[in-house]
Parts: sequence; structure tokens; C-alpha cells
Amino acid sequence: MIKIKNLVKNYQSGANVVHALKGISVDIDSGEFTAIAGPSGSGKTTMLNIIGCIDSLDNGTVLIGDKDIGTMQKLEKSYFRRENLGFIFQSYNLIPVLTAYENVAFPLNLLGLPEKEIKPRVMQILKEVGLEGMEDRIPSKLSGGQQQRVSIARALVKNPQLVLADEPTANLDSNTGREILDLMLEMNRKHKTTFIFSTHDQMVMECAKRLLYLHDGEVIRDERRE
Amino acid sequence: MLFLINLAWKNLTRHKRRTIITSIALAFGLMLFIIMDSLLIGALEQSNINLIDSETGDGKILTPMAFEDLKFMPLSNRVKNPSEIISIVESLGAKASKRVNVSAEMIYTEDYFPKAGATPILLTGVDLESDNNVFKIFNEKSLVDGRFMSKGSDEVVIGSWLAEDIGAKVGSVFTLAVKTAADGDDPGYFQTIDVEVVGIINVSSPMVNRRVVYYPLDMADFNLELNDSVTEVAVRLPLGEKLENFNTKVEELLPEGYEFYTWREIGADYLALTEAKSGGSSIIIFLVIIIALVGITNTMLMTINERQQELGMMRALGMSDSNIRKAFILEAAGIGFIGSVVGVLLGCLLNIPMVNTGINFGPYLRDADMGYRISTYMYGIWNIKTIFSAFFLGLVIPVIVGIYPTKRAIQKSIPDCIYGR
Ligand SMILES: Nc1ncnc2c1ncn2[C@@H]1O[C@H](COP(=O)(O)OP(=O)(O)O)[C@@H](O)[C@H]1O
Ligand SMILES: [Mg+2]
Repeated sequence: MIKIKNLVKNYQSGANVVHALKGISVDIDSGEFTAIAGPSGSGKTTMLNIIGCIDSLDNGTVLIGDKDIGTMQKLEKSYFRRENLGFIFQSYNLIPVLTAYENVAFPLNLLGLPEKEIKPRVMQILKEVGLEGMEDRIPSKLSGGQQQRVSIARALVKNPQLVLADEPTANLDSNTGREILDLMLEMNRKHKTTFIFSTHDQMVMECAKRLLYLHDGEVIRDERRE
Repeated sequence: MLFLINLAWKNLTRHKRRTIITSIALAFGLMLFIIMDSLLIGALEQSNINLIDSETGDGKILTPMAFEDLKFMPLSNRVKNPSEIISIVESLGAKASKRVNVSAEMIYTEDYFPKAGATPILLTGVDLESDNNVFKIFNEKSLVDGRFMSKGSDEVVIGSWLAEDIGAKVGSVFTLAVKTAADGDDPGYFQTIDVEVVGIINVSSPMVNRRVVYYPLDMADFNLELNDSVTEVAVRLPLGEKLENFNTKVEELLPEGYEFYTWREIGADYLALTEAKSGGSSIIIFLVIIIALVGITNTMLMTINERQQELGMMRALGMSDSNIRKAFILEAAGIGFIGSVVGVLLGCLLNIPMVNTGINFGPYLRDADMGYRISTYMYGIWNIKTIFSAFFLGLVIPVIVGIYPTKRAIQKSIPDCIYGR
């Protein structure tokens, strides 16, 4: 499903050039539950951002399905994200003035769906992530774990091909992190959604079915487990 | 679109105090605009009415030469046959009264005044029987002290400000020095008339209060050797009659050498002055725009800066630039809407006493000649057009001003937004 070949990304940082990704090649199949692991600064976020079409690449090709994202224009990328990708971020994840319901409905609003179609889908997914009855709460009235559940619901509500999560558990205690990861796993199993997430947490890595280990912008290990 | 409105509205409630302060600044400006406009236009309308009531009537029949010389008011260029002119005017359903206006010198001594001196005045000979048909001077309301002068006697009524200035009282006697008419070979001469102040009046025109001396017309005629001629026949139109209509009709009937001049033509200098002042409301509009510009730009920039990360997240989710722009414009319009509603409400509320009670500008107008024919109270008016414009401006200004900060919101790359770089 995702074919990455010789992916290079450099950043200009003052007078220096930072080689964030130094020619990464990797294929990820549909339905995989993949963790990108590695120490801070190894290029995890950069890689997720490029796959997620919110950052540009300098060299190489990235195919998602049959789309070559390197050739897409800004607006095309925006449409592509809106229709095909789900995102879970580490922080500033939800719109603080909107309720859980409205946050989850947001991607469907962007797609221009009518409210009568939106409502059952949002209620269904909120139930699946265990937030039944909390639809009307705004994020500040939810715990960190519940907020991340809203994010997961929001990422999944439009049935995307691919969900990208940048350190989704980094701001949570280990128990809650575990629960969130279990929820992601469950969603992956149930909806066959492809998940790619980054982490530098040992416990989280162990849950992954596939582990790409990054170091200084290069994949130094690629493990699959059952 | 509905979810954008919902989002914009909820974002406005995020920093309630900031939203309120920004809208109040706008509201204050709009309120000021409504009030200033009400007072300026009110003053202008009232001033025009007062000019008509106490100085010009709806118009005057003069010789063209006299019209040219209105500033100096010599006695040359007179209306030789006022009764004929008056019957023409009356045949058209209007009312008329004859007057003699002449520049004169008022000379007073220590016998009756605290200090001797001389002062230029405007001597107005009035026909006491018909003056009230055109002007509103000789009524109980305007009389401050004493009584009105009587026909056939050397009595005068003077303006209250003039009386104050020189210390005149009822019973004071002073001398008028007037140049009689230069007619043909006769160069005229200086005539001096001793007169007694029998009354002091205060009318709505500062001009009258400051420098007019009223004298019976028959006495003016006798002392200035006018032989029944006058300097003007003032006209008051019947209610509802249009000046232009009357103008065309009367000019057909008037004998050679006389013309009808409307109060606007006679008061052209005054109108230029006062109408320029009404342009002051455009300065207020400008101020409103500045307040809105600074306040709203600042608020929007603050908002956008602190929502950088959130905006990055929303853009990552596929929210288009145009939707982000719309959301912010709606937010700005929300501030504008609150500001407009509050501003128009406050403006109208404050305008009620302006219209009903007015503001006493007397002490200020007494010392500074602003051209307005108002000597005490200025009243506001209800100007629906201004109230609507204020509302509209309040809505539109924030939207226009909001465009620049909104542009900034989508300039940065998405990762730069999300990671707060
Ligand atoms: N916008 C940027 N400008 C300059 N350097 C950057 C930028 N983004 C990332 N980097 C650098 O690229 C490298 C990889 O960063 P990142 O992908 O964020 O790593 P990780 O997510 O694994 O911590 C780091 O050295 C980081 O400093
Ligand atoms: Mg990172």
C-alpha cells in the first residue's frame, strides 16, 4: 500500500543543513500496525509528516496506493488528507472550544456531509472508543486519555485508508498509554485500517506488529512479529 | 458553512474579555459617529431655521447692487417702491415686510455707560406692524428686559450680548452715526440720532444678539431721508411652497431692477462655513476606522498567534485555506456584529436626550463665533441613514481589517505551525 523509495529530507537550520532522512526505503502493506521507533531527533516525525502529506520531500518517491505524493500540489494534498488520512497528534490535538461530538464530526464537516449522515457515524465511533455519554464535553472536561480517545475517534470516523499518529502516548501515563494503544490495536483489527505511529517508549514498541527502527535518518532495523 | 459559523462563534467566546473590549471599542466609535452626526446635522438644520427666522426670511427682494453690497450695507441701491413689491409678493400667497438695513456706528458716553466708546452695529429699521409676518423677533419669548419700541419715537431695542458687552440697560441713551444714502450727485452726509434703549432681546441668532439695533422704520425713514424707500422686502413663503417655484413666479412679476434672492443665496458665506463643519462627521468616521483597524488587527493577530498549533492541526486534517479564511472572517464579523448592535443601541439611547433636551452650548457660542445661528441649545436629530451606515460600517470594517491577519494564518507551513516554529 505504501511504497517508500530512497526518501531524502534535508532541513536548512541557519547556516547548516540537517539531514533528517538519508534515503529511506520501505514498503508498508495495507492493514499493518507499524511503529516507527528511535531516539529523539532520529527523523520519526519527519517521516510521518511526509507520508501524511503535510511536509515536502527532497528526493525519492513515496507512493500511497497509486498516488505519488511527491508530485502533488498543495491543494491536491489538502484534498488527499481530507479524504484518505487520519491524524493523531501528541498535543494540541483537539479544538478546545468544540465538544467531543463536534471534534469528531469536524472531518466529516470538512467533507461536506449532511448532519443526518454525520450523527450516526459520530455516535457509533464515540461508542467504539468508549466515550458514550460524553459527547457534549469540551476537551478540558476530559482526561488526557479520554482526549486521545476523541482523537482516535476523529481519525477513524471517515474510514481512512491510513492513520498516522506521532507519539500518541507520549503525554499519557503508562497505564493510560497502554489503554490507548490497545484501542488502536482493536480499531486496526476491526476496521482493517493501516496504522503508522511513532514512539520512543519501549512498552509501546512491544505492542507493534512491525517495528521500524530509525537512527539518524536511516532505518537500522525492520522487525515483524506476531 | 454552518459548522464554520458555529466554530467562529465558539472561538469568540474563548477570550470573552478580549472580544468584549474589541467590540466595545468599535461600538464606542460607532456611538460617537451617530451622536456627532446627529448633533452636527441637527445644529445645521436648526441654525438654518434660525437664520431664516431672525435674519433672512425665506428670501429677500433686493436690487442686484444691494445684493453685491450685503457685507457693507450702504444705503444706496434701495427698493424705491416697496408697497408695489409687497403687493406682488402677497398676490402669490406669500407674506412680506420691509426693512432698512444699514451699517452704523454706536457712540456711547459715560453718562449712561460704564465706559465711553464706539462700536459698529447693524441698524435695522423695522415695520412693527408687519415684521412678525416674516421674522420671529418681536415676541414675548425673546424679550429679556423692557418693552419693544413704539412707532414714531427715537427708541431702540438691542441684542442682549451687545448690551452686556457695552453695559447698556433699559433707559440708556446713546448716539447712532449713520451715513445717509449717496444718490446721484448727492454724496450723502453723516446723520447722528440720539436714541433710548427701551428693550433688550435675546433671539436664537448670535449675530442679532451681538450687533443688531432695531429702530422703528418710520423714524429711520425720516432721519435718513429715505422717502418711503427701503433696503429690502423680506419674504415668508406659505407653508409647503417650494423656494424655486416661488422664485420663478415672482421674478416674472417683479419690475425691472429687482430680484428675489433666496436665504441660501444671501447666507452663502454662512452656509459655506457651517456646512464645512458638518464635514466633521467624516473625521469621526475616519477615527472609527482607525480604532477598529488597530483594535481588530491586534485582536486578530493575537488570536492567530495563539492558535498557531491548532490551526496547523486543522489544516493537517484537510481544512482548506479558504475555509480557514472564512472562519476568521466570520469571527471578525462576529466582533463587528456585537460592536454594531451595541454601538447603534448606545448611540440611539444617548441620542434621545440629545434630541429631546439638547445641549446648552450658549457659553461657548457666546465667545466663539462659529457661524452657527444658535445661541443656546443645540438639538440632535434622528438620521436613519446614519444609523444604518453605522451598523453597516461596524460589520464591514472588521471584515476588511481582518483580511491581513488571516493571510498570516495560512502563510506558515503546516509542520511549522504544529511544532510552534
Ligand atoms: N523545520 C526544521 N528545521 C530544521 N531542522 C529540523 C526541522 N524539523 C526537523 N528538524 C531536524 O530534523 C531532525 C529530525 O527531526 P524529527 O523528525 O523531529 O525527529 P524525531 O521526531 O525523531 O524526534 C532533527 O535533527 C531535527 O532537529
Ligand atoms: Mg518527533
